[in-house]
Amino acid sequence: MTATFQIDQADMNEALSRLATKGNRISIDPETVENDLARLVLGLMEFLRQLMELQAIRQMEGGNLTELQEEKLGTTLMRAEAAIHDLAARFGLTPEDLSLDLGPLGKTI
Amino acid sequence: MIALGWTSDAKTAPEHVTAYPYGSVDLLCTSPSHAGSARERLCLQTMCFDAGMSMLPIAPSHVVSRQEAVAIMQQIDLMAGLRTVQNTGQLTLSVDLPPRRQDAKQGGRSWLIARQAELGKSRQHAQLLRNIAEHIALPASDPRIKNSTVQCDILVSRLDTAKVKDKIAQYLSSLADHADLTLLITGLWPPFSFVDQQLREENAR
Repeated sequence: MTATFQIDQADMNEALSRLATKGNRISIDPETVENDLARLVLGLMEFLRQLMELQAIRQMEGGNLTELQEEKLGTTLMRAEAAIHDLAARFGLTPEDLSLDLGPLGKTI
Repeated sequence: MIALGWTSDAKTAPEHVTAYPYGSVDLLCTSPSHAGSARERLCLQTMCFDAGMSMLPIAPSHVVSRQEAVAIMQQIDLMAGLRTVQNTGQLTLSVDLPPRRQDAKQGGRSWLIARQAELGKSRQHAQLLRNIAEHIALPASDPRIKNSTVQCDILVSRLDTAKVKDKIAQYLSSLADHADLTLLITGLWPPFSFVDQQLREENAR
């Protein structure tokens, strides 16, 4: 099954409103470049995953998905979350660390 | 020097804080050795606030130098902002979301349904916080979700703090469908969420 997602402004705003911990401005330091890049990339991945989760819930609420589609979407999103958290843990990052501060735009997750 | 915020009524500055006058506004600064972390900056800002200063605080998560703060002063109408927060602080209202249940054997559909229920609960709590703000008719920030907690801030006159807390408690006790809910109120804090209140009101107009 292939699911097409259209991410709208409301979902984007909702994801941005999920503020996490403070002190998370994006910074790349030569001494910790691997961890900083991991945090940046995984943070963006988690942000996109949360957007897809919101969109999936919206589609489910709209009655646009069959039970089988809900099962597959849910499994994909659940495993994606576990994989992102697992990768983050390998770099010593907690799920809260994946929140990126976009300044005036707020936090990603 | 690291900037902490601005005030129009610099009283005796707390230890490690220096007030630099710029016309009718004072810029509150500290040395980098006392403001290395967001927690330290927040602590100093709270000390200034508790000393009775009306202040426009800089977000503690941001490191702003004295030079940068002076440049900001030339770009925005600080006096208008300071008038908005004169003798006020913010109360932070928090409602916890139920803890997530971790089930390794959970199916995809039940996982999605659990997330839907969680989202519904957070929206419900956010609406409750909006209703409280509307009931007490005071400026409030938009509810936000932070670490499984839904929060919003309310701008309160220092003198009315106890009265506002009572009013919130009375309102909550009148709601039958929130009997099992625990609302945590902390503060007064410096009015972090209302630094741009003037700008938001102008935009709304």
